[in-house]
Amino acid sequence: MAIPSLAMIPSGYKDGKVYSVLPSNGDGDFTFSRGSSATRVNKDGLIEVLAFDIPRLDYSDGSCPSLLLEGQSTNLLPYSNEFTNAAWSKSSTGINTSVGTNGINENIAISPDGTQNADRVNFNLQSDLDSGMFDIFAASQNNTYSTSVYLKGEGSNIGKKVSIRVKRSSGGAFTSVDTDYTLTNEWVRLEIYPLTLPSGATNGIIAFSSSEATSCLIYGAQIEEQSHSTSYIPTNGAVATRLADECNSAGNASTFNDSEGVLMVETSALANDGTFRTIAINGTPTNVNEDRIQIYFRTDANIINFGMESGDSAQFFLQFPLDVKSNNKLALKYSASSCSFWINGFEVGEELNKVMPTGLSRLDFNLQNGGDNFYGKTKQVQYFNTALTDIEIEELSSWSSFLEMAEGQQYKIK
Amino acid sequence: MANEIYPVSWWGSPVKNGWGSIYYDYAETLSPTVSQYRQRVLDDGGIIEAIECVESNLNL
Repeated sequence: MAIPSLAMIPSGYKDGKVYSVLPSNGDGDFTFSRGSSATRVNKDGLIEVLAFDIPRLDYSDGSCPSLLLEGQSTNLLPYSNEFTNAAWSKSSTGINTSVGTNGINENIAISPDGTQNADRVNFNLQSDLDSGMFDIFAASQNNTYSTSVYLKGEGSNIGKKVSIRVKRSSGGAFTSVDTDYTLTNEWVRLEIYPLTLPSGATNGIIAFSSSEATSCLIYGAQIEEQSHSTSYIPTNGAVATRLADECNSAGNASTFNDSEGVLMVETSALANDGTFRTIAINGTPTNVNEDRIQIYFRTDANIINFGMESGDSAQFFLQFPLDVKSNNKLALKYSASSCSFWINGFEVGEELNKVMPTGLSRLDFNLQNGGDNFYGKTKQVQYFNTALTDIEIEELSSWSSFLEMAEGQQYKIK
Repeated sequence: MANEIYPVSWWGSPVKNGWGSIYYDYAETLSPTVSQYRQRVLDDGGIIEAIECVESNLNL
């Protein structure tokens, strides 16, 4: 197998930088920025806050981390982990307010961040989903909101259900998303199907109640104006925003070969969110003509795309069906005589006799013009400055063992 | 020395996959390329994690 001229396997980082293994002189290192703190799941499986401009190596998908890149998002709940606060109203119908502080035992258990800051909510058993512990959050009509929260059961409450209702607060037609969750003896992040507020609606409400469990542990409630939940954004008295990650500018003109090569990425999308998200070998940003090779997600759900542009002229933009939220190994081989496209070890397409781009000089998690930022979990990026043989690309984009495939695709082996 | 445990057990001799694996030092078995990478990151003030994943993903 040829040696890649650039290889980034998430393992080395510091403030403003993601290191590449190759080239060994550091020319392949990525510039990284994020204008706010953010959280990750660290190698011990615990939620950890990382400061501004620190890249996130996230272990939520296994023992080998992913480079987690996310867009901007805001937690609309001002007290994400302080359920004793008056912002969280407690109805004595659904909450046993005689226990603890108005029904909440504060900092009673070890939370998913490894410290003793998880609260216990004590319920009165009843079936009215509106009568429990609830909070009102700022929301607008026709916008979509995603909810997430960590829950855990204790003792005899394990196996019993807790109900979570997310609904419009006032105005418009009644709209809610009601979820029953069965408690386990482990912390689980519950991600609730998103709620879209109807026309005329103002604000939203999240409410916790139970007709079965007398209590549950709770940590890290979050509501975002998103079609999907993102990593936990802690709040403490005010809504908080995590700004977007940006990672780009790896390599230079000597790293990349305009005539032929292979770009391979192992990655997964965070969601089918209807946006363009690109990993690309781009020409120089000052070049008015666009030259690039790209692997990208776009507006269509569960579609992977391979593209090439040469001097502003599209050579191909091809689409293939794929479960993009799963971890996939993708490869694009380019040469003037033949370009081919590979998914998890299989060649899925070929284009012949194309005009090659010129001036390729940087590997970016976005487009040449800085748009279409890539948001996802990336386990590796490798670039080869020669057109590998089909057998080499098959090996490169395949799983090396059944165990690797199972872990990569997050199968559970029983 | 009486009751010396080291000559008669694996104590102090962790292996990669097996006894004492959590104490295993992956740096001892890194390829030259990965070892050089690790040293470059550390010399630059960076943080290294999961170096064993680099070794398993790079087909050098």
